[in-house]
Amino acid sequence: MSKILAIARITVKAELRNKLIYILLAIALLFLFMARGCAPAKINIEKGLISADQITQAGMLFTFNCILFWGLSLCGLLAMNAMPRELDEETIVLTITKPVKRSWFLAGKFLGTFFIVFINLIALTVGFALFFYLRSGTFDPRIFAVLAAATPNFILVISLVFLLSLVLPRAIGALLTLGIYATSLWLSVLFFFEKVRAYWEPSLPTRMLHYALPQLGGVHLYALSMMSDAFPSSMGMWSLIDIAAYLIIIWAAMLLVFQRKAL
Amino acid sequence: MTSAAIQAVQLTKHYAKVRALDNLNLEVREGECFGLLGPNGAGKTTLIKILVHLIKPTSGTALILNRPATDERIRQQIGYLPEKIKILPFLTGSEFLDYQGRLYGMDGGGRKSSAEACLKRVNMYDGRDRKIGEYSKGMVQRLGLAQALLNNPRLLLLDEPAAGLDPISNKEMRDILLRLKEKGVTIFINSHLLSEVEMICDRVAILNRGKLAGSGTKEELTARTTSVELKVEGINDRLLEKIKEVATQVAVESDTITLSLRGNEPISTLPEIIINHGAKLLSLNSSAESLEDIFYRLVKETKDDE
Repeated sequence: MSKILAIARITVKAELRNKLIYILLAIALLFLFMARGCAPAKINIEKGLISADQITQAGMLFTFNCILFWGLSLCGLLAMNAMPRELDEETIVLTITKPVKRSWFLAGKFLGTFFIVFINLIALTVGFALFFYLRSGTFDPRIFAVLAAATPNFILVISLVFLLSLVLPRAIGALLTLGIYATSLWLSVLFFFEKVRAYWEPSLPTRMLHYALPQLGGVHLYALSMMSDAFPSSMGMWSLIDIAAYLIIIWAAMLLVFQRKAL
Repeated sequence: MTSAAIQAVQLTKHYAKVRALDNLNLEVREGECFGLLGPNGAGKTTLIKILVHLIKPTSGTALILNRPATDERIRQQIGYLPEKIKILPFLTGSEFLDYQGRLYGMDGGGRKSSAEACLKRVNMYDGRDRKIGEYSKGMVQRLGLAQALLNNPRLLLLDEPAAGLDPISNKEMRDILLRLKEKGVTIFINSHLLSEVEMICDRVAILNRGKLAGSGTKEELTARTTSVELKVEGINDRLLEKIKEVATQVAVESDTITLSLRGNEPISTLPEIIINHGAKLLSLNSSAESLEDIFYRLVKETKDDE
């Protein structure tokens, strides 16, 4: 375990030098503070069209979704570079020729990448909670439950980008993963919202695609359901089991590919 | 009986269009300093990469200290210096060795003392707190050697260790290797620098196009072959054909024939052959071949065989 942590530690050091992280962080903070200027909502409250509670909840959901998508972008960005950079620059050689299993190397890279993503998400979520506390005088601990529930998605996204970056050009691996996430989220909206289902019957190919893809959208909606009743929670457990199964498959494939890779 | 530190048994490695190693059989005994010579593309780096499990052989077996090279536990006893050292440039020399020490599973105190000792040994102690990105090529090479020595290895695998070193650093590295040799560390050096190998190594193997062209101690290799210069009057085709049966590298220029005697052929056979084929021997000069001569000859012979 200490060897895995040593690799994770070096990964964190390397990733913190990536300037794009700070650009993404600046964009995320910009979105966070933009939530302050919900002027049209204030007008609607004055007109009695929407309650103050509703606008607070909508603002929270909007901002929290921004945090989740920022986290996903960060996952893609960090994970797409973590492995290929070591391989391209051959810095992997002096690590992998030590008494270190290749699986430990993968685990170390994964832990380092996940640590940065998670620390950033925690920092943004705390900032977000503080911001709402200053605005409304209330603290809603559910946002941490949402973050915890969405964590399997981050783990899966990092793992999938790792795997794809071993066999495809790195940017394609990251874009493909985010494309899968977006597709899964879109299909989950169609499948899990009763009101949508009342007007739409999915075709067989759509159903097949929905069940073939990892249930990232299902977990995303399940996480949001912890904050708002507007989101369905009924498929949460099934989605989490599906993600766990995909994680096992992805890691098995990744180990297989990496064990056979000539360095 | 000395046990084997490295054993390659019918080791073959194919790349898409190239056969980098071709049924290679090689044994390096524990405690010896072994030099693997060969021109660029001979398969030297491929062999060392198989030994440290960076690549898998197409067929055959590689054993390190009597265990499969694929077993990561054996790397606890190996130090490896790659041909092109790539180190994360944002780390300092000390940070890098600390990281390498962690990969060997050393505790905090052990890491610190080993890193300091190795940095001093390779004359890099003063540069330990500088970023590796600021190091010269020679400094990176010396730091590479420091990481290879960090775990007090039983077996040291060095791929072109003199690459990028100035003559002074080169001598310092040679002295370090000679001291390690005295301590009984097995050293395996891949190189295309004959002088380097000649000065340090007990035994030498010559690799060309993935095949072993020859191996042995320097004395064994040079004793096996004699280079001869003959001055002959009346050189004819039948004479040359007969000479080629007992010698290699036969070259003729006016009345002078130069050649290398094959295997254990005695030099006394040559005057006999010349006289029997109606020619007249004017003079005969012979000398033992240098390692350089042997290297060029064996490399050329493997090319000719193909």
